[in-house]
Amino acid sequence: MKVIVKQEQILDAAIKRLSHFGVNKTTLTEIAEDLHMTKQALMYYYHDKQQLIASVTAKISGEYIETLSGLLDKALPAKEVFLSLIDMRRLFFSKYHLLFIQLSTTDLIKAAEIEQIRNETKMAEAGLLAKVIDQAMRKGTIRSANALDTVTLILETITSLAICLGKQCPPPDQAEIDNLVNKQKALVELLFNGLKAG
Amino acid sequence: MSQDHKQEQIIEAAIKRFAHFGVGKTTMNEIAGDLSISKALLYYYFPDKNSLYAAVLMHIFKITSEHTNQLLEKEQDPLKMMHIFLERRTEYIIKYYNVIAFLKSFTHANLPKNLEELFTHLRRKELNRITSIIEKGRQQKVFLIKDVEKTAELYHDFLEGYRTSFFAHNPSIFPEKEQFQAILEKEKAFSDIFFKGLSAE
Repeated sequence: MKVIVKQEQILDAAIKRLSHFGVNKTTLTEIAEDLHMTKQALMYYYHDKQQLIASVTAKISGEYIETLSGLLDKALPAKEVFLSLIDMRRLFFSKYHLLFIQLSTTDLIKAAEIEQIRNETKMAEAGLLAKVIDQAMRKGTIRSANALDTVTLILETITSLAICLGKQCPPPDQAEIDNLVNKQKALVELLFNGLKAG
Repeated sequence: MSQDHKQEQIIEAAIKRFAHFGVGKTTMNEIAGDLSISKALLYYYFPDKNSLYAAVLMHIFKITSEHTNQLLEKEQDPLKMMHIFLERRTEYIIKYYNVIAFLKSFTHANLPKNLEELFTHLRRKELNRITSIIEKGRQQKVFLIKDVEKTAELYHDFLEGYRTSFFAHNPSIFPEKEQFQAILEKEKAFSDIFFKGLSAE
């Protein structure tokens, strides 16, 4: 029990630093100092930085999928789901900043374990959203096609807009994010218009 | 492109990085990268990080005091002027916390010469500002003060000391906005008592 509490504390402290400074500019020593413990004590719970980041990734990806699943419980129309998804991603972005960017781009963290969590999260996200699209197709609001392919297409287009912003360092300001979110929403509107049945 | 303009661009880019990542975690390479200029050109303008840091501090102080001046011009009441001064000061400390906090990484012994000079200069400027507000109150016969200079120094020492002791008692990685607001409230309360004690009946 005590171990789990300590691990959670470490994860929270790590997330705080990683969100602000990013993976490369955060050291285990700093995280340990934030918790008034030695690096050695911290390494009893997490053997190295990679292991800690893998746990952080798992925690945030769990939160992401949970939030998405909560969103789907509202049973909104397909287009609304994707518009809300954009807001949800924005929320995660402002909460986890650099960490969110770095966890979702492959070039920074190459560890197999983290890669796997990332892929699983993407699969889970696409799977959940495919259900929404599938329902819309059955109802006839969207032209019939492979639901998963359609979801992948929409997600990839939204993400491609974010890529130019994501590379910017330090994180872009609120106005730039507003601008991106508006573009992404306009794109979703456009896509759903094109996907309409009939 | 003129030299001054390039220099200004570098300072702007540095402020952005310093304010977010802190000075210690920012490399000259990253700043050059942000501006798509060569490291050589960057070093031409600023031979090391300390000289860039000094320029950044100077720049921040300049825009802060220009802004504060504009606000103070509109106010006549010395007590309110002091509040304006404290509020602006807090606003800029919040905004540039990571830049200013870098100063804590030096001790008196290892403070580079150029920073020491700058620091003395900035301290002088801040003292002058307090002095001029107090002087205004003296002229208006609101404050009964013999030695304006000494009073200003006492007031300034409180500001320095209070902030230090606040963070010693409430340590935190990223001081929160609320903490600075709490400090500001205390500073204002102190300010009022301090000057009330100096006020004519």
